[in-house]
Amino acid sequence: MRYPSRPFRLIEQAGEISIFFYLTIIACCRRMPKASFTKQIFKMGVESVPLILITGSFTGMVLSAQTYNQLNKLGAETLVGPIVGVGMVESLGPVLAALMMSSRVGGSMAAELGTMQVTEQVDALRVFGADPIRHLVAPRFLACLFVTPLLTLLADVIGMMGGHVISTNFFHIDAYSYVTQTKAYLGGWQIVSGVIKAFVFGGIIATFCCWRGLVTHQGAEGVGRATTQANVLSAIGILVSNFFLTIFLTQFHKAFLL
Amino acid sequence: MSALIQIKGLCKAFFGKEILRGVDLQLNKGETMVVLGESGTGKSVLLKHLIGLMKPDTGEIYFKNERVDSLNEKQWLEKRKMMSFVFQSAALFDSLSVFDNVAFPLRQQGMLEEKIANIVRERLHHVGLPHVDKLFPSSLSGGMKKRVSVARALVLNPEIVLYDEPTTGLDPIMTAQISEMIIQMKKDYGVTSIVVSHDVKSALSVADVLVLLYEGKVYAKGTVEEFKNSKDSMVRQFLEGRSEGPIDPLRVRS
Repeated sequence: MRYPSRPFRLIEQAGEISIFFYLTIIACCRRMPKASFTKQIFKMGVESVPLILITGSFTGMVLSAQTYNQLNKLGAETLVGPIVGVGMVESLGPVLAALMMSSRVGGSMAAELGTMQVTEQVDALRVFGADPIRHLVAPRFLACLFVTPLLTLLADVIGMMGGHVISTNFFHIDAYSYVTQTKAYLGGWQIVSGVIKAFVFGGIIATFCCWRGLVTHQGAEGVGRATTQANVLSAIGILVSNFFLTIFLTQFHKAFLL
Repeated sequence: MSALIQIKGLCKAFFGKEILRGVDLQLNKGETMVVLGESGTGKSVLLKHLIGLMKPDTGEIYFKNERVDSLNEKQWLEKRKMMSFVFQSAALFDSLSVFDNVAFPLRQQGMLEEKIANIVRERLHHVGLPHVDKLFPSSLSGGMKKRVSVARALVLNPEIVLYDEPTTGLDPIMTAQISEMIIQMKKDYGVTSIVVSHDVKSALSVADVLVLLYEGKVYAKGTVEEFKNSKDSMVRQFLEGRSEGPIDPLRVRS
């Protein structure tokens, strides 16, 4: 049998990922090991909180400092709060939380499943009557869908708080006007659209990383390669889908909700 | 006697490299077949085809005259209830304790926990590891892992057991114990077994049928007596474990 050339291999892989995603959705509709799901929620959610707090707060602070420097020239410092708020909630929060999840959780998912694949544990699951997608992928997929929006909301809040601290303490913007201006510009739709994005990003991370883990071969080197590729694939997936989601959600909002 | 397992013209290639080149075999119910051969000649690949972990490029596999090589994963899940597999690397689940590893196939069948505990303890006792049930695979030696893997494979009293090098890495006493267990499973439950092995002594003690696989094809097949009395230089070289002979271990393989 001839091994397919690179372009054909890419098309083949796109097909494999689509089938894998379909099988995962089917598996999520069935009963799955509860203990595994709660364990994943803890690993992905609770253990990621410190990382999200650090990245979220510093991003909010940097955004606030840079925005202030520009708006100060125009005398529009009161807009720092809304820019930081909307920027964090609509785009930076979801993308940042998802990228952090992709590197911390996605890499670990790919490495864990990759190791199970090369040590024949995935084959053992199949031999003893268990579906690897239902046992290994579905709990991770659902946990990722559940946890990414929550971590995104946490990144949003902590980012805005970081921006608030810097703006009021270093740039002497009035705390009351910072909050009221932010409230005036930040609507419910921005929060909802951020959560929708985070939900999709969670799905992208789990699908790409679990799929890459389960197709690992060639021992320890293969596991290393799977981890790297899973991180790169999910990061690209997050950034590209962020663009399309932004366009789609904006059009959707204009067409149906305004 | 009708053949329980039949393999016709099985071929498999990986990344353009042919591993199996038309394997034809058949095994009757209750028999133990030992597949011998050099490393890398496709013994484990052959075994994985028989339990649906791999699909052949060409060729056919039949169980009880029913063709199984084209079954989908869901159909295989049903078929695998009558089979079991002892993995070369033991393949114990890292995240589960020894007890949970052995209990895994029973839980998949929905058995009651009380009954599971008794069966698991009995099986672990059988492989000489009654006190390791709370340990995790990472704290076991290679040989202990192998024995737990054997206990897990036999826990459901399967009709067919496929052993991928079950005695590799074990001391001579434990090797004899595992060989004895294979013979006992056949006597007590009429289990049909296919054993892939490099261990000629163990192979001769458990086999009803011996097969020598060479470069992806069945080179020789016969009973233990036929193998012992064989004049074929390749069979003799393998049984006697000599580096000189028609099989050159350092040759470049195609």
